[in-house]
Amino acid sequence: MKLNNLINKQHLTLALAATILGSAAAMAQPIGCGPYPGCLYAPPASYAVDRTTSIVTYNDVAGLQRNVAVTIRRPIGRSGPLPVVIWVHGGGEGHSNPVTSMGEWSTATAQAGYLSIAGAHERREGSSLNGLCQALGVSANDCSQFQPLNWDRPKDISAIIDQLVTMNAQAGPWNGKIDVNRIVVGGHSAGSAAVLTVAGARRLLVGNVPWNLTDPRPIAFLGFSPQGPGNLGFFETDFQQPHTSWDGIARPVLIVTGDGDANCVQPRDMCVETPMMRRIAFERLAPRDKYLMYIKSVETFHNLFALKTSECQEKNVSQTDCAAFASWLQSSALAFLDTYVEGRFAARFWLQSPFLKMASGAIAGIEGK
Amino acid sequence: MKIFRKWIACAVTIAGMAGSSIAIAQCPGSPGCLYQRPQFTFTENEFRIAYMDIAGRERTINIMVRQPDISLSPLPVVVWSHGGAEGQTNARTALKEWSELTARSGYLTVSIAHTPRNPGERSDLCNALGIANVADCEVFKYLNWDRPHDIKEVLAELRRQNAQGDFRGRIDLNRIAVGGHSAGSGAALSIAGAVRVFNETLYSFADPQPIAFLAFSPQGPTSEGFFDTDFHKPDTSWDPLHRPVLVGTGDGDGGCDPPGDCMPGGDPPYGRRAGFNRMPEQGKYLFYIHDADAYHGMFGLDADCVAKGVAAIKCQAFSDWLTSAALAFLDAHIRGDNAAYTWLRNGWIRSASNNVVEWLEK
Repeated sequence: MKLNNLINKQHLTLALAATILGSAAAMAQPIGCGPYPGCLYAPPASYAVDRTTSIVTYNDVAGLQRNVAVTIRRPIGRSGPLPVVIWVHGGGEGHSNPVTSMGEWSTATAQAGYLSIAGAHERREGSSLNGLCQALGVSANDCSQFQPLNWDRPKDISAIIDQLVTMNAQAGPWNGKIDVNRIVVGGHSAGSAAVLTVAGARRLLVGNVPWNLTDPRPIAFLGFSPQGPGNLGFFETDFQQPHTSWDGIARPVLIVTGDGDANCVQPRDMCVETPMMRRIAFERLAPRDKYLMYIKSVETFHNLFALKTSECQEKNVSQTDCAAFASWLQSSALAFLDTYVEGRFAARFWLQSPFLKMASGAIAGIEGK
Repeated sequence: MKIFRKWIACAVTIAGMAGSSIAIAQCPGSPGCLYQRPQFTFTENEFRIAYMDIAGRERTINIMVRQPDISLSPLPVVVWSHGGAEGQTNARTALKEWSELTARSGYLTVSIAHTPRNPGERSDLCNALGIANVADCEVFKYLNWDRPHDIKEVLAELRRQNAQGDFRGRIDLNRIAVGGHSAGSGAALSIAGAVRVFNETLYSFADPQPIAFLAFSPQGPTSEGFFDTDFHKPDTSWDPLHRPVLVGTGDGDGGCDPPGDCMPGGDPPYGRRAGFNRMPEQGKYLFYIHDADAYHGMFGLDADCVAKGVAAIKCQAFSDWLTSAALAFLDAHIRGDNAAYTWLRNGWIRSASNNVVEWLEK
């Protein structure tokens, strides 16, 4: 209700905002969306991007060395310490190639002016897996079923942040170039589970005590295709258990999913996740700076939320739909980032407006609380 | 801390319920902002209904009919379907508290005991449904099939009884509600039109006769044959629900053991309310108690509340809120009562519960 009031008030000031923000081109846009072309949000500048790879190394809880290959995408020509987005891919099987890991999102945020880091989170096997199981108290019998990336992904994120802090502080090409106070973490599917874990989500994966792998340094989070209760250790309330996995998340979060974002096998009740269950990750978040972007279309396959538009053709999703979905996803994510990282009024205004609904013909929308 | 404060305020509300001028001012005509209606005595009669199931076997169910002792005729009806995968044979105890409440409130109330199947009956049903694998048959919850059919037979029996016999002309066939708890709510929603998938086949159990439905502790997507959208699959179980529905659940209404392991078949509270999100608009209500003491059986109005370690004052409040909402829903949508509509549409349950109850209407 408060948000609705806010939006109504903002509508009243739209003309003023258009004047403040507008250029001649902006004023030529259809009535109702002010300076936002096609009613979508676009960052003020678009940068060329250069790409390098590196390795982040740290010692894990078992005392073993773990390596995380990362791709660093840098907006060329943007001055000043750069704000950062760290991207986390999904999949229980892990990745070894950081260039293809969340490459689409990573490129999009780099073009928007963010130093974008995408890790390849490798799945442990053999002695490394056994060592982790032992350190975490997972029995030898259960170790073969244990999904080590549920532990490793959040730890990898923290290690990447440690590395960024070090790079920024020490002499070298990154000295003073990284704004370590403006770091955002985003992820898709199992990657979003890691993102929300770093944000403060508790997960029940071993024994009866939820893991707490919170990292206090990121200032905002993007969760694409997140898990609902009952999956990957996320839990809800129950009789005389008033807590949920999401209670501990106080920092800004954007959750994104849609009607096609399930992963069922036949029959249709055999699903690990369904769209309505994914939405619970938003519904259970405490109010303040929390957003849900939802696309009401069953053309929105799971990997679309990783911005993998290259899969549209094989999935029989039309190029028109595919391009529209991608533009809505990017607008939403970039408006969220520019709101909470750059403090841009135009981004916050768009995020809290009905403009996405208008742009999409009410197929997509953003709900805030 | 937030909940604790709410409960202090709530206790004050309850204590003052009898004559609070503030509450009366907030909710005219509804003391304590609760919905109340005249109470009647009722008489009880047990019956047995037999019908041929899909396998060609005779299936027999026991029902309890509670008839309010009022001269008004014909009487509106509530049919209740209990929960539990194991079935029941005693209709007197089947959703007894809900049944007595609606009978006391002037509804001819039919409570069904959904009879369990013996192994032979179960096997015959599996064969009829194409569940050839013995292992699959053993885990198939056959009452998910039988419950809606039992209800349809009860509705048919009501038509027969209204035409001839002891209840002739006493039953208002145009004012029937079906309600249920847990698996029983799944049956109620099936009668309302919810589509469910069993053994890779979609089934509709819709019956056009009832005009409103109560679903307490309903199943969410992926549970007991209920399904959500998926890529290139736009339909959901709840799409065909065009008649009024009241959904009731709460923070303690989980079924996950351990809490992080709900799939498949377990139902976390927000999973239970996901079906409400998917229902078409018009005449849909969600009653949600934001308190982890609101346990699963409480939504079946069972008598275990205090024994489960919940404070008596809270148990009473839960019961008052839930029964208020259910009776207001029934009186609004079955009787067409304006005061009940006013109560529903103003969301007075929020004031009655000091916002412990979340109330949504669409």
